[in-house]
Amino acid sequence: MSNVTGPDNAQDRSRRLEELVDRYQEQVTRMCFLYLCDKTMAEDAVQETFLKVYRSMDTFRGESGEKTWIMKIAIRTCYDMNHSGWFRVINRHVTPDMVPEAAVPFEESDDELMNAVVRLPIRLREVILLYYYQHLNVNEVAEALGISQSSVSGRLKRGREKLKAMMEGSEFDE
Amino acid sequence: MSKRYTKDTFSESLDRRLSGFRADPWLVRRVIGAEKGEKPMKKKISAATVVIVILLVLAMAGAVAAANWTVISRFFGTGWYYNEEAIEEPLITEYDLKTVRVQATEAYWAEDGVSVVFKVECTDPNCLPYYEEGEHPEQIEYNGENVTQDELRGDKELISCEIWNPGGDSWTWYDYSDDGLFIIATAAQYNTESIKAGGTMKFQCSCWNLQTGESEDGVITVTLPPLEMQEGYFYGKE
Repeated sequence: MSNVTGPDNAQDRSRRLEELVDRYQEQVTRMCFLYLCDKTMAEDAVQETFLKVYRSMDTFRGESGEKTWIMKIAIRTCYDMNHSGWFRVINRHVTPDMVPEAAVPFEESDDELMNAVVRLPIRLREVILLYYYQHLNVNEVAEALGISQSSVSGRLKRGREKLKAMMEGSEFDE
Repeated sequence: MSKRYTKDTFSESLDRRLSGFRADPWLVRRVIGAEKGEKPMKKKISAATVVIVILLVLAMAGAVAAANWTVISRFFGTGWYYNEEAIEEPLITEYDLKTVRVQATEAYWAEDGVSVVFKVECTDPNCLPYYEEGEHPEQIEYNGENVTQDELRGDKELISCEIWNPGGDSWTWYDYSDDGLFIIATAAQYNTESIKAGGTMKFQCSCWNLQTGESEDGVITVTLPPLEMQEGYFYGKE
């Protein structure tokens, strides 16, 4: 776990930000896209996330892991953006034009998984993404979302069931 | 296509599909620049219309006595019923938002649920609540499917809330929580002539599938989870 606490000066802070951006930007960008299903909103969310990271760098004491901390900020940023309207129309179907052309070959099942994930209700999608995609454990997911571990477990269970139903019996390890 | 996913294969799959999302080489510079106030970072996400948004956070604890239901009235053919006996500890919850004050003033058992009465006040004399016609959805999205409100009422896991108010049409908002409970947000439609600044609007919402527990002495406790609150938006009075 990297310690990002206590940068001494602006140069240190900039250097730490560069390290964090270098380490997490792609993950955060993809997470935000899967959450918001909108490339432009995701880009905004990424900027906002790292701005918050930069601003709170001095106060991060390492109580949680660095990744948990950043994902918590990213999720919260996406949540706020997603809730900025009232009767918002949520389009949970990602079409190919919404996703940048893949840089590497991908399989049909990859596309299927992505579309199944974005069709999950937000509360289930959050935990599925943090647990399976970001490899956080249940405790870290709970911390990132500010919910109980039992809620995480319950949502994971329901998320797996829904993914399984959408993906013709695919299994998801617990 | 059947496949077994571990955390690794799950993330590898999504990473392949999303490999087109690459690192932005200018992100650090923009973040630092924004921190210094060089240029605005965030694009405005502005609502196209201004609507009334009230989402209440309710936390209720109390004892509710089981009672025989008494039909007092029906509303719009929905078959709602009031019970004359209010709960022993009426819910009094007040939320002060920027331009609106919301109070939950009464609560009753109504069939399988609790009927809660809200009072909404405009506290900004320069604003009136405004509701734009056409915003009320006849369908909402649930689990990726478009469903009608009637269909939702048949789903025991979901709550469908309808509003009654003395002034006009109404609309509802609801959500599903982890505990099989609900989120209620109620609003009523008024045209700008029917409510004056500082006026009050009373409306009612019933909800089902509450989590209930029964103690040894037969007292039924109803609990509601704390919910998220959003600000209300109001239309400026001309």
